[in-house]
Amino acid sequence: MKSRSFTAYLLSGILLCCFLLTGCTSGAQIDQLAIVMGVGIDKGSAPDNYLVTAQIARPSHVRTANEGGAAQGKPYLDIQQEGKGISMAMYEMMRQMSRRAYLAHNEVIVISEDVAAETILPILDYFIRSLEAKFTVDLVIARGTASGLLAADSNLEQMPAKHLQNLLENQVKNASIEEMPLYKFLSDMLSPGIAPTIPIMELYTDETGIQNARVQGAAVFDGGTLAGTLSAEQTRTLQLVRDKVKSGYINLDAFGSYVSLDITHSKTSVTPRVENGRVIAKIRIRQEYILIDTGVQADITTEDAKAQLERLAAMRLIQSVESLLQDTKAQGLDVCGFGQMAYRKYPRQVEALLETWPEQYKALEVEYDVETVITITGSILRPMAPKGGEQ
Amino acid sequence: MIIAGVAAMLIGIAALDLPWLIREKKRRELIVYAICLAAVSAYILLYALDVRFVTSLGLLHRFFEKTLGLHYGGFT
Amino acid sequence: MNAKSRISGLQFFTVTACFLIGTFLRITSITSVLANDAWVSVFTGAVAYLPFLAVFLGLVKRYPGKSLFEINEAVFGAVAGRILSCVYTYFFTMILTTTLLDMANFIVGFIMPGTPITLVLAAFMVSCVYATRKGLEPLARISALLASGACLVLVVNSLLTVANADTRYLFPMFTLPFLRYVQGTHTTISLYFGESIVFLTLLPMLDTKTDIKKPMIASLLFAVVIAFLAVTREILTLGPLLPYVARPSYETMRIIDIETILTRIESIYAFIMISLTFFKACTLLFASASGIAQITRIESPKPILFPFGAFVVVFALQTYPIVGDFLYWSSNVSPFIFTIIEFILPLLTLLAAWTKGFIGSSQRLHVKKGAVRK
Repeated sequence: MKSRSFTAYLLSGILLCCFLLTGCTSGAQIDQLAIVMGVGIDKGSAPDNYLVTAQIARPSHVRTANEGGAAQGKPYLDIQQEGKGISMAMYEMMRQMSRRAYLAHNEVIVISEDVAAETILPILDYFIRSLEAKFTVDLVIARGTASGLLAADSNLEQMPAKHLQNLLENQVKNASIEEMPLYKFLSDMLSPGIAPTIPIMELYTDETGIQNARVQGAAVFDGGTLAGTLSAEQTRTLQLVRDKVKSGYINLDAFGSYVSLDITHSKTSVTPRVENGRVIAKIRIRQEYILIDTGVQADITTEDAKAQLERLAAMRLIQSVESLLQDTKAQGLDVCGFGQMAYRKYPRQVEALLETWPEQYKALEVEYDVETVITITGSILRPMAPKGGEQ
Repeated sequence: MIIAGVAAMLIGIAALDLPWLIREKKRRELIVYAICLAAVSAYILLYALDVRFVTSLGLLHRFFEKTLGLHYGGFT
Repeated sequence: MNAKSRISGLQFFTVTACFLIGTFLRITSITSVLANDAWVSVFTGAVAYLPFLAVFLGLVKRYPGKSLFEINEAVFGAVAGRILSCVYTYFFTMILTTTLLDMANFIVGFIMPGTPITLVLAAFMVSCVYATRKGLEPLARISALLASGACLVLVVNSLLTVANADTRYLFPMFTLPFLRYVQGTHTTISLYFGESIVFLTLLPMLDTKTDIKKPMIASLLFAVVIAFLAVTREILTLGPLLPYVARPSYETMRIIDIETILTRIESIYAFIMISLTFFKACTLLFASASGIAQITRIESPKPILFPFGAFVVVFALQTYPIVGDFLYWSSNVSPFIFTIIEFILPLLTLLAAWTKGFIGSSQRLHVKKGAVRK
């Protein structure tokens, strides 16, 4: 019996090793990994070829607060490689590196407009299949080259990829754009009756001659191919229709000057219905504002003035939605997803319409029900006019 | 190499009960035990020699799908 | 296996609940068929499973305290009963093999890429055999912990996915061809709920006073709630992507990203999956081994657990190449095979028992004393 328990202990020891060591088979030390923070994809020299830029973090070069601005070299390294398909480029990239490219911390995938004009599906395919890459990685379309955008330095962030991601997040907070993570784009792309969008970023040179990145509208896709673009203003309006506006402001020309209103509450609902084989969408918008700034010297807190301002604000909202719809209807790109909404509500009636949705969308009728309310006029009761002026 | 290691491990562990079974003269247990081990050894040998064959699961699959025609239209 | 160890009614409930949750982690077979309507099949499957449950309970009522294998011999006699027991034993081995392969595939593919599958299978099996040798009662005790842990993880994760959830993904409802709903329901009964036939092999381990009706029904309701929550969460989070992804529960966790701090928590899913698969594998291993013990008339399955476990590992390795077809197999062909074993055979046994009861004396209902394993 004794020998049996000895054998049992011995075997348990061996087994324990088996359990603990199996994990080491594919193990990699952190100093053996090249942590990719951003990936840029440009067109290669041949069809199906991509020029892939991987921005790799160099943790030893990251400046800490104590070191201040000690120049040690850049805390990142951009490595470029061309290949047929993303995986080939990534494998080829390994030849230039002493470490394995590790995609688990990749924050952003920047795709150049040229590539998007053909198709972005093979690129997304690589990242969605990858077990390492994040499902929530942000997609960005670069006006110009993706590698150029990925090299845009920032005074606030040490890593350009992180800078791009923060820029996006900040714009999302302002309701200027909708962040488009990989899985969300694919969800939209697989849904009928909606043209998915991806934010566009571009480089611009400021007054001091430094190149900076900025968000400039959105790219609209049709089945994985870039089919149109939206201006910054149109992208903001799209956010309004999608009910993504949580804050923001509108600037109105009124009473011979300007009035700025801060949005404190915004709610949009779209109700589609089908009549005589056509989809009709009713857009209901309710916004509340506070007055934050005006150049008008007259008292605009009166009921009449307020009503006039509210009417102007409502008109502005309708105009901006109309402008967005006009442009997208011309291209047959249903960015707001009216087709999708109608299909979800009336699947049987709309299913047939979806087959020719771009054409149906051009004939889409939209009704508006807009309610705008100015709730507070700030912390003063009336404009502060100099003595002798209007009281 | 891994196969050999695993085989040795499994057979080694399986031998844990052997002395007791022999001492207690548990014939039936020993026979079942021997059959199981023989099957394991045969499978390991075939696997190590890279001999692949259709398992009973595969045969069942074919029988139901091809012979009986019991399957859904391939929706996955 | 300690003959003295007994499982109480509550423990039996946690055991069945754990088994069913473990089974529902492999939900791909219905999400790939029904996409955003997959939640329907949880309910239709549960309702359609009720006749199965009635047959199981009918058998248990007629032969209290006997295992499925003992019932077979009591009804059909030693030879035919053993043949039937062989079929069930093979069936349990088959589920055990596919369960192990699915888990090993997940570990090798997602958690520890590059690790040889042989090693994963062997290491996992050794721990299963070790636990099963200790008896099912300790396992039943940990099942309460596992079930509550799994529920907690599910609820917390569901709360974390709220930010990414979109209720509109549930629509449009019921737009798929009718056959798909039939297929989804059939798959749910046979692959998920129906596997609980394995509990009929545990009955001799139960406290004599235990009435299994209540725990079986309670665990069914529990599994319905858990499965509904899991499926709905996946539909709301993945939306149109759902039928495309290989492991919806895992991918749902990959999406969780709370302010970039709380992210990449999919390893929690892996932990729950491995623990529940371990539990399920132990139950199936016990069921298969006790089947062999009953057929070969050996006293206890304990000494053959290791060689049999080793056999399952090598059997799984030979079966491995068809795993590529696993999704096709599980949602297209296996529901038919499973229904025969999980429903038709027990139903025939019950009918035979009734007929026997009508025409024979009560003495004939009992098998020879030596044929029954105590």
